[in-house]
Amino acid sequence: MREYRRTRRGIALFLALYFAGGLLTLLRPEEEVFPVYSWFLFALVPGAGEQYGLLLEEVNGQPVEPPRLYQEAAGLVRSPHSVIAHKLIQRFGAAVESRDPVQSGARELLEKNWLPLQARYAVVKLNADPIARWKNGRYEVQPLQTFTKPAP
Amino acid sequence: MRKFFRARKFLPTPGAFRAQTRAFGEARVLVRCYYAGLFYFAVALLPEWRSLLERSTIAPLWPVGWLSYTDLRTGIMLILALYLVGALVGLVLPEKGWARALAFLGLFQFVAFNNSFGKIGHSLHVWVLTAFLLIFLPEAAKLASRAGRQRFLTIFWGCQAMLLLVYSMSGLGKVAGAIYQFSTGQPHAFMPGALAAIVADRLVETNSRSLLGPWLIDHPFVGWPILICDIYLQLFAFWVAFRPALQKPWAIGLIVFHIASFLFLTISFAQNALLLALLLILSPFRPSQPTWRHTLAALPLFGGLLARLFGRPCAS
Repeated sequence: MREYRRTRRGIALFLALYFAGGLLTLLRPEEEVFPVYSWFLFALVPGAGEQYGLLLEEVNGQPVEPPRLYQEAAGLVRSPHSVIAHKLIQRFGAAVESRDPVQSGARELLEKNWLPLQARYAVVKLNADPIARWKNGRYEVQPLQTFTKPAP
Repeated sequence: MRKFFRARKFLPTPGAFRAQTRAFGEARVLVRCYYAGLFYFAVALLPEWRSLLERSTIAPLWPVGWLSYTDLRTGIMLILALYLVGALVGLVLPEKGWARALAFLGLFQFVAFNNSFGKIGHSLHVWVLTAFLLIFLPEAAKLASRAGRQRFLTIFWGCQAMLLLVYSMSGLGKVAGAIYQFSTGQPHAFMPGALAAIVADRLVETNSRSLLGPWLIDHPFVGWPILICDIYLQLFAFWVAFRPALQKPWAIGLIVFHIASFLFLTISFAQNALLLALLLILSPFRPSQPTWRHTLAALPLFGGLLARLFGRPCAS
């Protein structure tokens, strides 16, 4: 019976710690200490605002005319609709804008795992309302910096 | 804690010993099914082994930090092998603590590795957490006693509670986010066009197409009740751990929510849907003779009112 009571207390403690730890991860920049997470998925309703984008200007020595956003570059990149690539672009964009060296690992991950063998691309800031962008495809582009991934 | 979360009126349990015997037998089978599910995930990954082994750049999460000190290909091979062998051993010997620990370790290492590429996905998190809890199931020799069986059921209940807790945390996030956005004058989750904005944002950020997303964006009012129901289902999910009459309908609701998430947003949480089916739809704690009155009376927030409207559930 003692073991049963200990188990009950242990489970209650585990749940309480996970809940508290999950909320505390919100204080961290990456908002997670695997596998402890706040689970605040889609917590905010997106309005008009800024996101980062990656504009491909040259791929494997061939210019891309007009330059295309990563997610619109089907045929040039392997997984244009990848959420992982999108998140990496957001991290990379934030790092470029704030000149944060800690986040610069995002560039290496992007270039090695998601971009073609050789590419020249611009990190840009996109300004749009999501519903308007969905309906008419319009957004404002503000270039931040151009990078080149050299051929191997 | 139980007193706070449980319904004021709950089903009586005549023959507690008989109920425990039935629940224990069912929970034992469900634990076996759990490890069968885990094994299926590991085997279904086999076609991807080649591409996983070819990965050359990694930002390892802490559980697989050791990959930085080994040959990457060898390290990945070890993780994949541990995942497969652990899942197989868990399936074959679920009554052995060491086998369950090995199954957890393999899953934990694989999920950490698979999320070490710049973004953490959450489809297997609850499997990791429940696999951890299941390590503590009592050994077979102790299951002959009532206390041992009750301990087994308590850990099974802990897995249910863990699963439901993450949904409540997600609901809490949506409510907290709505309060914050309302207070700063932004569009928030309780506004009619909120779901349409979420869907549009998701689809444009990855330039994806979903089956029903474009239609929902054109008919934003349809999304209003859907999102409010979703927030209610998620926020009060944890209460359901203490209200067995609600476990089945709530799990069905959450599975419908996952199906809708895929149809609107292209987000699939198939692994969570399986867990909802195993732990809650087939719950060993479900009442033997549930009535719709009991179910309504157990609803969080509205149960008392509905019980008054439709009459109190009978005690038998």
